[in-house]
Amino acid sequence: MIIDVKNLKKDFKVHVKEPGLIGSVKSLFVRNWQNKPALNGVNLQVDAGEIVGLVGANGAGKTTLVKILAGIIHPTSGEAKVLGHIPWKRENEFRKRIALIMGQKAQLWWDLPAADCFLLLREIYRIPQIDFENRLNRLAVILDVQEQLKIQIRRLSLGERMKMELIAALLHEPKVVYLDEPTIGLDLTSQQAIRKFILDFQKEKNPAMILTSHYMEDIKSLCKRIVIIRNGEFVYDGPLTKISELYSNHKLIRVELTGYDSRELIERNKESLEKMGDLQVLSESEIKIKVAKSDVAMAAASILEHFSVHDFNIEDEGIDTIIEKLQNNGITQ
Amino acid sequence: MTARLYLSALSLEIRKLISYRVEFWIRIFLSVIIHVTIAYFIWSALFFYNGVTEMKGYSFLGIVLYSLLAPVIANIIRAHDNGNIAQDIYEGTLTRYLIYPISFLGMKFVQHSALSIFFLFQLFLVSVVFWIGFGIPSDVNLSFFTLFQCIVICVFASVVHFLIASFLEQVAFWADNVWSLNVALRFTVHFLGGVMIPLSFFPDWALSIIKFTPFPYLIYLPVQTLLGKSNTHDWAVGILVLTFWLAALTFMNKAIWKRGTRIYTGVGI
Repeated sequence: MIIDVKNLKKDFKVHVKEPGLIGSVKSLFVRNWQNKPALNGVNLQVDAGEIVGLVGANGAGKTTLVKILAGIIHPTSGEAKVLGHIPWKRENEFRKRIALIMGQKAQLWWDLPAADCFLLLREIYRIPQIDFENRLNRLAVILDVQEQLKIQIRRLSLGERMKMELIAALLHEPKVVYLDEPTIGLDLTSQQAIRKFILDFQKEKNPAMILTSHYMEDIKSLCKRIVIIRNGEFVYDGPLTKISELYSNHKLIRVELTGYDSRELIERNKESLEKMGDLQVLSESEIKIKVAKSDVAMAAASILEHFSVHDFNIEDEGIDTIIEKLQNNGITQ
Repeated sequence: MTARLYLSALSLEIRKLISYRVEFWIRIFLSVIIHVTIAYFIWSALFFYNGVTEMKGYSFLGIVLYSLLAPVIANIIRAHDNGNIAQDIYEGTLTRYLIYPISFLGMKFVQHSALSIFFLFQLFLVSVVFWIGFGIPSDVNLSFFTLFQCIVICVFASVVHFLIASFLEQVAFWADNVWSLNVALRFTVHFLGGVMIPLSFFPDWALSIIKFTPFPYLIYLPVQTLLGKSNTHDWAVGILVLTFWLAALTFMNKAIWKRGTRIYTGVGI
């Protein structure tokens, strides 16, 4: 087990101030504090080679969990071990074997070219010269940033900067990688490049990875297992593929009709179609109906009986929709 | 932190300092020109109205040289006292250092040292300019030995100042803004360190009190040592007092760091 978390809790003490001048004057003398729970007794185990997607709405507690596991902050109570170390003790042996990539916060030195920053990292992690050169060349080629290595970080585009951050984080070949919104603000091409790079790295080096992202595409492409966090508690921890099986009570029937009078036919039968479930007319000849799982067979039979069908599909409800509902309190187990 | 890492970080910091050419040269000369111009007019007026050629052991040219050296040596000692430790704490940049297997305060000291080296270069340049323009004043006894003594005490003073500043800036773990503490420190160091006027102009009772604080040994003593106006006994006492403060402040820094990082929230990510 690479990451082992037991009953982890974290409360933040937040200063609350009344609005207006009187509130400001009052707060000079008396401060009101409020306890804000961020994590409420979570348990998590991650093995080597796993990429776990940590999903939740803003303020749900995902970044707090990552911060604790990276040793940045102390928990209020509970236990956590990463690579056999208690993260918040910040032993050098622990810090040499982890990496944190923060999409929203640059870690490299802005006034210097990336090449200079990497040289310092070589010293920080004591990477042998030959290994350093091989790794840097390889990573720079894969991410296509060889030409940008000598340019000041501040002058790079967001995508190029993120690629440099990835190189910086992976030069020492960490055994645990925390990725906090690694593709935030990037264009689609850069997002795809970074996802492919992360997958390749995971296949080759087998680290344990925890990924937080609001982009469902990141989660779907990278994670086989997801953890959904809501108000500091895990509401789902399991395979991504199982989530619709467990939480969706509906299927989507997509039908493409044939014949010149499809539109008229849909209009005429609208009432009976709406009785099957939520009807959505996609085009002149195409409809989608969200049907309760128990009614799928009956609805399918009825459609095939009454319509001339060109194409017919029964799909699971979109994972994005289920996850969104789960993280926003729409579904309970 | 290994010596190689320390040197590599120092080299990186120096590269950062010289990466902006215009800023580099302005920084070297502008503040010194302003300081010396003000000192020149104030002291020439004082010497002229009092009708004297010497005040408290300084000739006119000697006091102008003091006014030139004091702010430059103050720069060497103070280096990074502009609140960048506090800024790292409340902006969350500290996170970077907590992830890397390095000491945050160690890296900050490297930044501090890089700037000290930069100001050492400034000291060399402005001293040469003064020497070419005015020669060496008659009341100054500059030698290689006083230069050596000055450099040694500057190293101690620079470490002690760094520890005072870092201790105060770590208050940012509790209070979001500690800018006023930085200003208070800078004013205290300038006033009690002899940058504004030499401490020999202070009354004896005041001197007998402030000699127990680290301040007179931070700037005034290094300048006096360089000018050959203090003896080896004063220098040795200075080293002893600074060593005491160094030990006490190291302990205080460790204690505040331990408590502060417990409540650090890593804002910004």
